Amino acid sequence: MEEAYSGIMVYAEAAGSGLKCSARELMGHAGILAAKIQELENKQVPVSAVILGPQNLEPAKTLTGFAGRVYWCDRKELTVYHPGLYAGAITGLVEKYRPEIVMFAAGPAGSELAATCAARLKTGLAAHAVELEINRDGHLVQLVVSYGENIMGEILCPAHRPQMVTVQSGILEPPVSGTAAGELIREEIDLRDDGRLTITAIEGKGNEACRLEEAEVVLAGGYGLKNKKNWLQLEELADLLGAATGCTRPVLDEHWVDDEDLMIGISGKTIHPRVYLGIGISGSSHHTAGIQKAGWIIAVNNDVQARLLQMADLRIVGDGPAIVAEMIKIIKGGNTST
Amino acid sequence: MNIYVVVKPVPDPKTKLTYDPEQKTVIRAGLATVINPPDKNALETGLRLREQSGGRVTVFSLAPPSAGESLKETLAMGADEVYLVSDPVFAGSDTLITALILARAISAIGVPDLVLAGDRTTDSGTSHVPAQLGEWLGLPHLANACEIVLRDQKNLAVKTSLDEVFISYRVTLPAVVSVTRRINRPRLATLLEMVRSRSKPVTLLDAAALNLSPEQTGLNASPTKPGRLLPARPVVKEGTIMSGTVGEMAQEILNRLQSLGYGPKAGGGLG
Repeated sequence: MEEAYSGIMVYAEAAGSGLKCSARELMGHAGILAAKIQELENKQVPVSAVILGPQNLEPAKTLTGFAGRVYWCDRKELTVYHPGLYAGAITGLVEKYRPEIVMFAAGPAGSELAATCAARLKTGLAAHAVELEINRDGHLVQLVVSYGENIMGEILCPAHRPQMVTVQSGILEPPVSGTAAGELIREEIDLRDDGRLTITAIEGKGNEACRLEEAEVVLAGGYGLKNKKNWLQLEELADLLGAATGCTRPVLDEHWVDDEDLMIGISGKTIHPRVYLGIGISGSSHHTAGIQKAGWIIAVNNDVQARLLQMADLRIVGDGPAIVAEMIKIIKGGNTST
Repeated sequence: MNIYVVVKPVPDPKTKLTYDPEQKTVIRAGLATVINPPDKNALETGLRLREQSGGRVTVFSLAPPSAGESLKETLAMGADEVYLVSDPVFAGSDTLITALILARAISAIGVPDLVLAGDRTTDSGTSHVPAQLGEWLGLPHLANACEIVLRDQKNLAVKTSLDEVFISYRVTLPAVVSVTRRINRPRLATLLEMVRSRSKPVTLLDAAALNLSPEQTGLNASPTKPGRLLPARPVVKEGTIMSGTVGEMAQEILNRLQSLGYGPKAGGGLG
């Protein structure tokens, strides 16, 4: 069964006239994995990319720098993200070219698409991998962050092909430019639209959506803030500092805030600010996976053992809410003791 | 309108987890659980649609029998009945097989007009199950819904939230839709409703009831298998530790921000 499958396929998402950062990261991952399989099994392991939408010719050309083959499906029904049709196109290409590994970026659309394709292909899918390896059997080992404890779990898909995975973005540095001289192939895929799902409107989220990812300073709050009033104080402080606010999952669970776009970590945002200030955050792997690329880390926590403190450049052992209130007071009072 | 809501009891965030060294999964039996928070948003969506158009809201949950107690909360919030899909042979199922079992349970009771779910769970958090459930049922499905409006008896308008855009769809019922937390604020069950919910039915559906053989479910049937469990390797820095009065600590942070070039923005006291 395995012999019939070969190579690595990446679903690449475009953004504007270029590629999403996640697409370049995935291509980087794919190249490393392909080299490992190649060395282990002494066989050619082609890396290919799939890009959908008639408007994406330029990103498709960019992809040829990273992949041996770029399959570009330019049907006009694929202009806007349509889960059923997108999954149909990708599934069709997987069945046609039979890659042994298929990779997606773990965003809202990538996760939905990967799950749909895996169900149609009746194969295994791991979610939000933070590390990928090839074991000595030549199988993909997908490392995911386990819930609660600071444990990583390996996930394998030993007997089904392709092995599918969504990869947490922002873990690997994306290659700046590709050196491959790939072939761009226009794909005619038979898309069966049963008409049960139709697109009616598209609306940009505006700058707010990327605020957290693009911010130079992020002020993040966790369960240690204790209540909504303290969360609102943190927002006030962020405003005074010109920082973006972010949160951990318990803050959403407690309904101190309802905007999921503010969540940092696995199944949330990966951020790379120059300064990250975390208040009342213990530092579970789910959260810290999203701040690996932060420059300076300042952490405030009562518990000297908190993992986030261990990761921080400046560790403040004290009461988060009280310190937030005091910082606001100092700024508003113009108390410049420096 | 006949609505099913798929919910998952997840470990109470305030309890400590233990792992089964054989199955390499969290031991769920006897674990204190709460309803996965986004699933409550899905239930709230269902309850509001029922208020608007009549019908029933039925909860389905694939969980160990011990989770029955936390499912009572869905009845107290207003669900009409609960099906607890549970069998020891289901243990260790991955998302594909979990979705298969849920699809069988839903088909056994009768495919409704709409199946709702939370878009991700707070434990494993794959967000795969709703889409895969839609595939097993052969129904159109959408994830990341932040707004749902019933247009007529046959069509739903669904707005979804992606990275940079909102995309709206019209979907023909029956369909499967998973919702984000921003869709609504779930109601709180009152004490009286908690008491009343005791008389509402919780029906068990096991493998036999769903005509599922042991080979079709559980870890053995699942394409993905857990491998080793490894300790996370956090980045540990040689940071400066500081403690003192609240005033001193607040000032230290502000000083540090300023030395990095990020003082309070114009209009603030520092500059």
